[in-house]
Amino acid sequence: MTELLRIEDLVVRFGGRNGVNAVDGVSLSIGRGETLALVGESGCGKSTLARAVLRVQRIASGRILLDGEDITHISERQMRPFRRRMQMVFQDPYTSLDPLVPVGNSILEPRRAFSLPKGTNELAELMTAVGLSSALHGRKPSELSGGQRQRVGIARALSVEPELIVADEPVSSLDVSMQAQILNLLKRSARGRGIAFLFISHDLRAVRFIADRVAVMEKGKIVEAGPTSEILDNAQHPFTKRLIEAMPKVVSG
Amino acid sequence: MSSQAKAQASLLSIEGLCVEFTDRQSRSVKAVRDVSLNIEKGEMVAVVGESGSGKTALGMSIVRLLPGAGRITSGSILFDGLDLLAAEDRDLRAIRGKRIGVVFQDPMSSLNPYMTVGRQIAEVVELHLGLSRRDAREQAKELLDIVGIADAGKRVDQYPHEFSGGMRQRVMIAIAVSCKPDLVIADEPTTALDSTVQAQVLDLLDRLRAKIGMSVILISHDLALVAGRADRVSVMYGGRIFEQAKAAELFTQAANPYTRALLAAMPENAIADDELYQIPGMPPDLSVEVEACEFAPRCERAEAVCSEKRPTFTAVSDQHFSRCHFAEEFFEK
Repeated sequence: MTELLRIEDLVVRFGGRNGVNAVDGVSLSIGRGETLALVGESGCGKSTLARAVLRVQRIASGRILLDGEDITHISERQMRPFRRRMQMVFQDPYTSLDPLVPVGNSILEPRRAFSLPKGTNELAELMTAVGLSSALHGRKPSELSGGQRQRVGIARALSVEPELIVADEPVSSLDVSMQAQILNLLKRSARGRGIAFLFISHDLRAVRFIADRVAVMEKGKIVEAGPTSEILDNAQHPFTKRLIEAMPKVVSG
Repeated sequence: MSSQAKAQASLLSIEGLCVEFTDRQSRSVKAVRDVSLNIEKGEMVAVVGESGSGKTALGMSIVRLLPGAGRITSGSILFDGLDLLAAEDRDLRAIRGKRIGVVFQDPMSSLNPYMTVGRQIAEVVELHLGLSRRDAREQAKELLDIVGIADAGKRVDQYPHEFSGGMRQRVMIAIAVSCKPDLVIADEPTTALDSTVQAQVLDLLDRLRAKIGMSVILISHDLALVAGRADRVSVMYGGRIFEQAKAAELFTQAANPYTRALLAAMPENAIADDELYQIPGMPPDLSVEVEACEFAPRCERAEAVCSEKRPTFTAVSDQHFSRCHFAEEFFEK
């Protein structure tokens, strides 16, 4: 698998010289079309790491390479073409969409931002791909369910044909039945479109289904990383073991 | 035991409860439809369902805290023999917070940001237990300690924003149990929290249940979360209880296709490497009342009878009920 994203010894510091390293020397890589899950408790630095990868968070030291090119310190102008290639799906489908804008416009907005053809044909295609009836394009977010809104968020990310999607807890505010639909959709997007995912989650049940590899983060550091089944079935680090222990279990017949 | 004798023994007895809301199109939405549920003393009952299934409306009806547009249209709720639906506001206030505690989903929006957490706990015990300001403060410290907040002596004077999400939820629990209630209603108490914190908060509720001998209604969308904790589980769909059973039996011998679909949709039950089971279709439009099974349009087992006749809530074994024309068939599976 060719490498798409490479993170080298990354440090994000909050609070100046005497502050804390929210991300403390993290090195990771994600291959093309690969899904890497980043797991840990809230406050461990996983969302900060994601923001640093997308260059919306100041980086103290270390390097980020996308497709071999160092994007750590390039200007915003130089960053633009890379922004199209890396998209984000947020946790909360309620607050991540403009409540006044019809969802069809929201989905196509990133295309306009990157001066791509407007893509009215693509709109129907995108909405179908994420399991939304294209008849819903004129609706406001408030007229859709939580699951439908998350589909809009995903269609929006897909609209500019990214190579990497950072998804920060994309299913944790959804019902079990909605979760299943969204997880299927994300996995199909990874497989069908060859998109790599940085999937941030505290839910190891979802992670087991979706991720090729898992990195476990504690207090700004990666404490354990490897193939999903290896990490979840044969955890070595006590923190990973604790996460697995806390996972709710059902024995169903 | 006759049903009447049983109702008398129950701490909480809900009979034929119906709740309606008026939506933005001024349509009447029947959120809870003819729900009956008994809670025994010391028991933990989980109410599970998708959003819009009516589980929160059911929980909030018990303490008559339905939001403005909601109203109880029929049914009865007996709490320790007292009819909560006929009770005066004054009597209700004496029960809410004292004998029935509530833990809401989002501790940030249910705690007052301008008041120290100590004050917020103290306020409750001053009001309900008649404690002096000084004693109430001591009580607040003790309660923080009980819910596992370290350094309670210092924390008692801090504000909600100085607490993490899990810690705030512990504060909510401290408030809910401050008067040693008979019943705590916990509405998605851990949905906004990490798995590790989720487990800690639920362990805490469980420990307090044993310590105080209180009953708990645990409202959640996640079957896995309530497994191994609840004594009994009620599964709601479209405003009705579709299945009710002892927890262990529900997970091994679900007698309702909706429960089975919910279990099948859990991420640990993937049907293929890249596919989770998806329940087809959408939850029902609750502004429409049908003389049929509400789940029939999404059900893989549905036959003609399902869209012609509403199934009754029938027993398939001891304390195990299901609302399905094929309940026996599913139970035997």
